[in-house]
Amino acid sequence: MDDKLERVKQIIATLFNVDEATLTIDSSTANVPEWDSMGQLMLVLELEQQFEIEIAPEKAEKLTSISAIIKLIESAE
Amino acid sequence: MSDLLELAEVKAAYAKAAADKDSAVMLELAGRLLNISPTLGIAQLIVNTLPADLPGRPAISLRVAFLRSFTVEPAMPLLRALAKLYGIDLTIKVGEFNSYPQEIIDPSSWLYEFDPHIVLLAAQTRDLAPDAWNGSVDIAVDEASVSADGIVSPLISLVEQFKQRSGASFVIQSLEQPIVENSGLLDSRRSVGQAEFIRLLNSKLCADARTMDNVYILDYDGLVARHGRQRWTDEKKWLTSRSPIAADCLIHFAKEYLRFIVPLAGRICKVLVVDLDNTLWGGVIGEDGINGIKIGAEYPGASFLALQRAILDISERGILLAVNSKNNLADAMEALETRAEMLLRPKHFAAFRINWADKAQNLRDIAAELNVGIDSLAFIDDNPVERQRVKHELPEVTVIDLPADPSTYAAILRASPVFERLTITSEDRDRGRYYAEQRERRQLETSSGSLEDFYRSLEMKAEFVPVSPETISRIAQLTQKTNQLNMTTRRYTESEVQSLSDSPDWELFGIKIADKFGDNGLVGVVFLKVDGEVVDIDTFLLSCRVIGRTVETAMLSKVDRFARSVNARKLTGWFYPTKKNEPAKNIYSSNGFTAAKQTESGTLWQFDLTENSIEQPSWID
Repeated sequence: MDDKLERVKQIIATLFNVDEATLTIDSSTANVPEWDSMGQLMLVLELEQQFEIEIAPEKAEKLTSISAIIKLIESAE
Repeated sequence: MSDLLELAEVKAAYAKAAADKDSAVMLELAGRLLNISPTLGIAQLIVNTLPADLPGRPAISLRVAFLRSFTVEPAMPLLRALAKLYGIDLTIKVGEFNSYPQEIIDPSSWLYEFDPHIVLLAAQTRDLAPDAWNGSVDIAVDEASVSADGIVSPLISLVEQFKQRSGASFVIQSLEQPIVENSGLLDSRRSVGQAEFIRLLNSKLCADARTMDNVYILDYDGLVARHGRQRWTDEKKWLTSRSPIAADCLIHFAKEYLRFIVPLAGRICKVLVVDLDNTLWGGVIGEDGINGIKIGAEYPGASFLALQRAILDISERGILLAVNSKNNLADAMEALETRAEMLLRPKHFAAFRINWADKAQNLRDIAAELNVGIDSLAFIDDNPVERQRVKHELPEVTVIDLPADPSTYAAILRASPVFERLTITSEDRDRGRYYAEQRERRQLETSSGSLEDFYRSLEMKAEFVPVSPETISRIAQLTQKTNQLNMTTRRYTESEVQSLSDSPDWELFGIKIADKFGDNGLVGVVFLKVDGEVVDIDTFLLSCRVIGRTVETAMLSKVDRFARSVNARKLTGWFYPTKKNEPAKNIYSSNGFTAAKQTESGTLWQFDLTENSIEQPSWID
């Protein structure tokens, strides 16, 4: 879980060019301004490649927080 | 798994280089990272952290407007990261979906405010030509051209409008074919079916763009085909987010646009410098010998032949070629000259540095000789140590990394955007030949290594010939045409040559030179006037074909022998400088003559036969 949190934080920090130290399990589209709708599309693409999973469109639009992302990754395992 | 490990390792090394602020190492590792994992995350990491200024090369900043009909955003980090590897810092602004007509027509649109250097227009066939994409297409042959004009002309007139307001370069993506034609197999039974109509649209688009300055067509259909239409397309992403390109193909999309951006930014190489052993041929010439090196139709020589073909194709775009190799000059030249399967010959190269010197220094010398900046050089070498050395010493040189497998070399070279040219003039095409001729004249002055070894390897044979019906016209012609290595530039007609030759006070001869590569024919002329104990050199000239091969010394030694045979004690000879005979200036002084008299028109040189003699060089037979 911790390992996944670190990986997801790292992905988001890089993709949106924000300081990784500012990210927590509670980070979401509500408190990361760079995480917009186009950012969402890129994030899903990157998560699919990094974790080698396929994210259904219905699920993709709900991945708006780090906690939701980690839940999805865990359920895919 | 090993890929993942490698990725983790390179990422860690990149992070360390970033902490050390070692931008040369960062640059190299960034290239490797994108090769191992061409993903958005890696691309964005490079965009965030790689300095825009490369070592030795300040960044070129460009504004790029991306007009489009589909979601191109996921490819933008990849495009920016790729451009950064070439020292190009892109600011990209993406237009609204399918809004490019308004964006171009409206003078107050963001497009003009943004003031781009480059405009890219990526529209899909389904948006640009919906009638060609949806339903079955069946157009009569005589109507197809008009129909195609109806689609292409409005697009071209948009571009013309844009060009009235902006000097930016414009790149338009061609129309892609569907994975399967809507009519299935019947499409080929139509007069003009879907596939043929889309081909027609593309050929019209290209024809119109060719007539416009600074407007180029990106062959999108060819790009998709190269990677496979099926694999290229992500139908689900298209339907959910208007993003039709599969995630693992985005890098290819970005690279195709980079092929235009690099030459538009002027980040091009003018000279391709190549290593020889294990790069231009397999094996080591100094060890394997001329018949042992691998080059030709059979594998493994076929890999190297393919590379030579790629290099030759690149040179035909007006890019100069040069050699930078650690070798004995004579061995390497012999291989290039005589090995039958070799595609690249000495005439294709504008400069040679075949010696045991440092390759970075050789590259500096090549740049100086060809009068180009060091940042205009690209360098290929199979040896990673040599590449490393050059990257470290001359970071402004484009060093093209080659993997261990030579069968990949040709494709890597062909894919490099630094050799792309968007237009070509006839001067560009002839440039290589012009430099090769220049180089031949200067060849031996500038090449290091043992000159004597090289002379010996040429196996030169000299033959002195008198004036005769066979030689007289060539001798007269040489006096009239030779400008460079000509001491007195006295012009003689055939009849004048004949009468001098008949006179008892005069001795005339020509010199024929042959070497292992062939017969150079009659290349030098000497006219001597005997005046008591003095032999005066009235005319002394040498064709530029054999300059710098000590043939002049062989000729002077013949003069020496003749003078002794008539019991002369002294040789004299004038040097009259002209605009062109600078190469002749030092001939007498470097062969032991001393200056006896200086006048306005020239210098009289003399040689005391009782104290010195001029020997024939031992390497000339």
